[in-house]
Amino acid sequence: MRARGATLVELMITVAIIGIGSAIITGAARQALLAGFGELQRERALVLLEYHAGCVASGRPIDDAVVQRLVESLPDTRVTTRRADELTTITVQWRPPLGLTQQRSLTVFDAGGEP
Amino acid sequence: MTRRGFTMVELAIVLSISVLLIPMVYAGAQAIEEVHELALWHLRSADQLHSVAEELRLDERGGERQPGATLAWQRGTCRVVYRVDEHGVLLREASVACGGTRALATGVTTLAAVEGGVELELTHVLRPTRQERTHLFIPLEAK
Repeated sequence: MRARGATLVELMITVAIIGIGSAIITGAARQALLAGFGELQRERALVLLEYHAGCVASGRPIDDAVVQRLVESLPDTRVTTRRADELTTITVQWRPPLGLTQQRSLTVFDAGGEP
Repeated sequence: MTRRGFTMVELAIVLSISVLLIPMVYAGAQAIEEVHELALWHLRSADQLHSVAEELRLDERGGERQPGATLAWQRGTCRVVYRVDEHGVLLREASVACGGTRALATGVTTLAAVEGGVELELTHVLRPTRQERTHLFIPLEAK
């Protein structure tokens, strides 16, 4: 006589496939969300970098309150400046929600102000 | 004789499973759609931050900031005004000779001059009960 209906193993396999499929889709959606947020953080970091570069290039002092506002939503941000002759290289490092620490650098002519 | 069709119990089981699964699948699909929409909004916000920062910086460098609550610059004979219209669009208004009026960002709820720069608040309505907000600060060069 032929067995009728699904066996327990077949049902378990079906449930497992559905589970794996939903986990993959949820994971991909979460990655997309974090990547989008990471892109916004990258733009914020670039604004911070340009602010520092603008100050160094024009000799204006860096306003700590402005920097504080800029780094509010950038976790573990670090700004470093390195001088070599008339050139100053400013590097901004930050930790995006996804992946490794990111950094961007900009080299400008130093107007003589204190970065 | 072979049995044809389904029994009442089989149908009842299938219906019960469907009743349980359909709301779960619907909720899951809606959550994924929201996450996708949110990811796109973050990308758009990043793009808008870039455009607005670029335009503001150019006007700040090439013009004189006008006193008062309005964000306005005088660039030679051109008067450039930044304002948010009733649809939440950030506009850079100027005469045609001075670049014309351009839309720089959408979904803007506030645009305010704060100490050291300009602050924008962007809002995105995911559904009537859920709104996402982000603040963008753009420093301006003190002269």
